[in-house]
Amino acid sequence: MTSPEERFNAVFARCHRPVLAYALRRADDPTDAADVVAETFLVAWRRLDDLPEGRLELPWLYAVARRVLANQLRGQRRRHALAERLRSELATRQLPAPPEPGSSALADAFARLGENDRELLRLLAWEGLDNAQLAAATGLSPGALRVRLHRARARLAAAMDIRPTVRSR
Amino acid sequence: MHDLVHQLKQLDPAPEDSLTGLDEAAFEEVRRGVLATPRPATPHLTREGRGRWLAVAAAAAAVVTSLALLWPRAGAGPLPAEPAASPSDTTSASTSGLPRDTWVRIADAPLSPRHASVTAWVDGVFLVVGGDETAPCPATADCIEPEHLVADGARYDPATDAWTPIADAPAAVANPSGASNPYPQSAVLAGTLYVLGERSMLAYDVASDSWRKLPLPSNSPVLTLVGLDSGLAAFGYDAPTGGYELFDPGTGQWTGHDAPGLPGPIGGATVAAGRLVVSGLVDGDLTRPWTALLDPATGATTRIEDPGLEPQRPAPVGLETSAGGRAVWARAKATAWLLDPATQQWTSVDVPEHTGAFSGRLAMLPVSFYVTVAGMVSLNGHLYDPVSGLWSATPDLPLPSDSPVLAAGGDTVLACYGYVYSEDAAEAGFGDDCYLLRPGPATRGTP
Repeated sequence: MTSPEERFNAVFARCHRPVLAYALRRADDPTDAADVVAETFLVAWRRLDDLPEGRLELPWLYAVARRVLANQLRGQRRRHALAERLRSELATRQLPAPPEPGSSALADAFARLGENDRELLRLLAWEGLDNAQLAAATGLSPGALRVRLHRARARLAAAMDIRPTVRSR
Repeated sequence: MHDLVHQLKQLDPAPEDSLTGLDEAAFEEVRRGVLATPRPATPHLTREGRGRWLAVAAAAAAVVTSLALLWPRAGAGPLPAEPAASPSDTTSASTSGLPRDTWVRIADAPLSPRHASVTAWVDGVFLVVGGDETAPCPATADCIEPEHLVADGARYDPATDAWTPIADAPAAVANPSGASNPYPQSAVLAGTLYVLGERSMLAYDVASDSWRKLPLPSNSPVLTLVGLDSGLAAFGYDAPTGGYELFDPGTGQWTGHDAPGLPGPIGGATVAAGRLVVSGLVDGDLTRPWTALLDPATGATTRIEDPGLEPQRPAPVGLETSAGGRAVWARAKATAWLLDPATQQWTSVDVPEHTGAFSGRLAMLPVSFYVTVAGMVSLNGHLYDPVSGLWSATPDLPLPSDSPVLAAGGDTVLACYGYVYSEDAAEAGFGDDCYLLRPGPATRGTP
């Protein structure tokens, strides 16, 4: 039988880079992403029994990371000693900048969307989640997800003044 | 045809190759650090605790069920003996057959069990609208973002013990703190329930079973929404001192108003005796509460001398009694003050130390639910009659007391669902049932 430590190590090995990427894409300061990673895996360790296995493992971690980021935005930023080295590492790296309004028509249109639409489209485009994973990451029912996704695509297209391509995944 | 999602991928600020070369030792420090922390147990009810709750609930349910048989529906059967009515008795003919001080299980609601619903009493019926079908997320837990808010609703007529589904709201609505929230985000005016939504104010007309979308006040987010005789008043979180907005249902528009001479931002508001009562804390001195009457028609502001309100809780609730209206600072911990706006006289009562029937939990946090019914107001969960100065003997809630859906109207209280936390998935979940209480007259001294 797998011990909690063994299971956590396996999860960490599979997911630490995707979780860092998720946090880097959304954090204002790249060094904050180090604390998001630390906090997210602390939650995963504490709630290992709730952590789903297989394809829903990563969406679950994204959902936790989203909550951690939301707390950071509310000013509840925590500095974890265990993230010190990762923070220093990120502070010295040159990372691509998030899409800024004005840099392209798509960036402009994307910036005009509501946060819920943006997050759905980020998870789809940047994290590459499929519908089942999107539902797990957002807590939406499959039906509600389909509707939200359709609307988010449509609004992005409308913001760019073109018709959307609705593609079933 | 463009695939915008594919294009959006090109804007990814952290593509896979951007993370190459990161020192794995940095991640290793995180992994080791996490493993070095303990794994605390989740603060769920233990199986033993749940078993005790079930035993109590089963006993209560047995009493409730047997008494329910005595409730003569449609006028049939003898009425149980009743004590004499209190001076503030507001019993209506429609519910006079209900036994007093007894939670009676009512017809099954045509709604999924939920919490955080918007509730109201409109023209003799209860409305239950929206809410959240997922478990209430404890403040200290690491829940995945809940977003199962719903837009359906139903009306319950206590006179006929019948539920009827109503038209879905145009958008999901919720009252996150339920009955423990002294800052209403909904109000009733002329047969219409107004609910502040995320993007618009939603108005449900009971007579036509239809919803309308209306503009939100410009001072959103709104701290408190209050129904007046002729409109609504909205007080914003970030409104300037004295600033508030009035909604005219005739024009469907909000207009800004200013209450001159207030010593600080409005922190709570209610209507009592037809007067708009506002309260707050003095600018620059958060230990000094203030109270005033506003007259939206004339713009006049009348300051009322502070009797010693508890400064942490300057939010009054309105109460109608047989001796006129009262504004009640019901969140008080030690001394609750009541203002008669007609005479501008204060009275006070010591708040019972122990919690009463209308106490429970909100996502595991202990709370009191704010209930005003039959001329009484709940103080630390006990119903108090300010006219007689006595307390009612209310039986405990007959359902899980975490996050129940509660509403008071006329002379009855409606209670539905409630949530049970348990490590055992088979035991965790919402209660299924709804109950109605007709509180008896206040006949007791301080509980």
